[in-house]
Amino acid sequence: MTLRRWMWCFVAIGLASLALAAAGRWLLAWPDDAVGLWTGIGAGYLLGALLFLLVPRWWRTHCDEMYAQPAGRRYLRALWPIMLGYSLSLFLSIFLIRRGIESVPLRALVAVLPALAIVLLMRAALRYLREIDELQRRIETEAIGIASLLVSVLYFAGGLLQKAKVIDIDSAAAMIWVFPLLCMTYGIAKMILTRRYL
Amino acid sequence: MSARPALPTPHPALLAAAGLAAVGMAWLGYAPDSPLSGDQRDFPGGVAIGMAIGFALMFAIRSIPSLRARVAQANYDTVVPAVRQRYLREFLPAMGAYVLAVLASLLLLKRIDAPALRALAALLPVLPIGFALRAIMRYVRNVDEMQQRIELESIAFAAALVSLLYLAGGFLQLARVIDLSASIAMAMVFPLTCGVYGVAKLVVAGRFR
Repeated sequence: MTLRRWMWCFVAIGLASLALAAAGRWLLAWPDDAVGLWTGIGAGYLLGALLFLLVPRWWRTHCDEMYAQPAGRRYLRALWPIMLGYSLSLFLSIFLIRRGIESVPLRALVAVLPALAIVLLMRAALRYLREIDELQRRIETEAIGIASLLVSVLYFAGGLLQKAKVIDIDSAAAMIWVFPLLCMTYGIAKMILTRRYL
Repeated sequence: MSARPALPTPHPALLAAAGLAAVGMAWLGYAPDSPLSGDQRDFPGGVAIGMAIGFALMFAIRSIPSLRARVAQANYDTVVPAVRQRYLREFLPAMGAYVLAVLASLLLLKRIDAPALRALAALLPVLPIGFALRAIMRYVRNVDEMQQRIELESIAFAAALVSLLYLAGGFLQLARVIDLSASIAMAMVFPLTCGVYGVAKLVVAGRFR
């Protein structure tokens, strides 16, 4: 699986979502928020595909090489069902909670359902980390370390600003964004470290 | 491995001073005849509780043999004393400055109303934390290959666990199962990561030897 093929996958999913939104709008008479949801998903995937275009060539070839190795292939094979499961469970969880669940333990269980998929993702990532060579592992763990320090300091500053009533961030959004921010910072740190070590 | 793995002993005078400071803070925070009033007591009270937890942890590590062995293995066995000393010389003053910065920031925030100045006053404690982080990064760069691997894997594990915890917490908050204040949730990312990292290190170090 090369990055270019990933890009086309994203384009295909994005266009399919937009087509679904259009069909819902003009053929199936969906409510506005369902149409908006699928338009958002489609736009998100197309934006993601655009990001693949911005990736510099040396990074693209490096990623393609990494994912061609047995460890990388195994990781990707484990990854896509998990991500699919994550999106489905996220949908299901949001849908069920919107409909309203009276019992608190049950609501808690349904709410953390998507996080279980992320547990599997981390297990796959940990296995990948154990299978790659020494230098790559060093790059990966150092990138995660730097990302974790940066994000936690950012959050610390954010918490102080929130306490001083300078900013006002919703606490659910703040908590959910730790993981995506960590992933993004990790990606950037990994690019810089790869440049330095390889 | 010897029966009592070597842990460096802090200077008795330093320990006594810290104990005295903790008792003083506890008095300021909780004694009925404390000179402070109302919410002024929160800060020394919190410091006293924090120091008590610290002393309890130190006592537990020193008196429980298996824990002592683990801590020595994870932090002291392969680290060159010079590297550790340099780290402590950079890290401890940063943490001292942090306590002072929190105090200054709390006092300033009570007096300032302009948002930009409030932001500056609120961010005051981030500066010493930045210095502490620099000390940590320098330490990780200076220890030997094996110790480096232990440190990096522990940090990676802590990052994964804390972000997973926060993801689950965020979903629970959205579903109105829990109700945490945003400022506490955000500020706790850093201490939680540090705590998980410390515990993870004991496990990772045990696996490597």
